[in-house]
Amino acid sequence: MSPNNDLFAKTLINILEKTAFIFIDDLPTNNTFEYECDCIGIEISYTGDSDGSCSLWIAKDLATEIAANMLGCDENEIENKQVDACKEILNMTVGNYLTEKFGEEPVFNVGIPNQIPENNPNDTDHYNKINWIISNDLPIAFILSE
Amino acid sequence: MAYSILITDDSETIRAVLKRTISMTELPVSAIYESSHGKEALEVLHNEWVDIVFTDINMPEMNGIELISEMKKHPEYRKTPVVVISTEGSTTRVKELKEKGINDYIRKPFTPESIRDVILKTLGGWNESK
Repeated sequence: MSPNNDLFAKTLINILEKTAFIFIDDLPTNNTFEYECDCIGIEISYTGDSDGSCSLWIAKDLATEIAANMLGCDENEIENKQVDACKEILNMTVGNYLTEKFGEEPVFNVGIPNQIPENNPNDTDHYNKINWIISNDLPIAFILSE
Repeated sequence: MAYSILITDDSETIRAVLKRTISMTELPVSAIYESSHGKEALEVLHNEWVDIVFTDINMPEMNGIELISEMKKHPEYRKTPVVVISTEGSTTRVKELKEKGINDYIRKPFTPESIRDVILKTLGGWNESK
C-alpha cells in the first residue's frame, strides 16, 4: 500500500476496533481479493488544505455485526441500520485520518457520507485502486482519492 | 436532581451510541431527547427543559453552527450549554466554535469517561444542577 493508504487503513482498523469491536485479520500482502460479495458502499468527500474523497465497502454480514455492536443489540434486531452505521465508520475514519496526516491546525470541511450504488467494489471503474482488509474472512475495501 | 439532555445528530447510530454511552456514565438522567438536525433541536428546546445539548456539526437542514447561532438569539435557551461532538480535530475549528459560544468539544469516537467528564464539568456536578 502507499503511505496514505496505509495510514488510512490503520485509522480505519483503529475506528473499527474502538467503536464496533471488529478486529482485522492480517493485512493481505498482495492487496488482491477475489471475492464476490454483497457489500454496502459509502462515499465521502472533503475540502480544505487538501481536497479528496474516499469510497468504502463493507461486506453486508460484517456491516450487520458492526451495527449490532455499535448499537448494543442482537444482529436480528438490526433492521436497515447497517448503512447508517457504515456511514459513521467512514465519517469517523476520514476525520481522524485527516488529523493524523495533516496535524491539528488545518481546517477541513468533511461532507455528509452517501451510499453508493455499486455493492461490489470490483465492479467500479477504479477497481485497480482498491485496498483490502479482511475481518473474519469478510472483506472491507476502500479507495482513497487525493 | 437529574439531567435533561438533547442529542442532535443526523446519524441514528451515533444518537443511539451516545445514549448508551450516557447511560454507562451512571449519571442521573431524567430525559434524553433526540433530533436529527438543528431545526428539530430548536423545536425540542422550545417545548422542553434541556440542561445540555450535544450536537454534531455536519447535518442537513440546519447544521450545528447554525443551531448554535439560533440558540443565542432566544432568551429562554441562549445560555443552555452546548457541547459539539464531531469527527473533525482541527484546533482552529475548535477555537472558532468556542468563540461562537460552545462550552466544550469532544471528538468521535468518544468514551463514557469523556462524556461523563464533560457533563460534570459543564453542569458543575449533579448535586448542583438546576
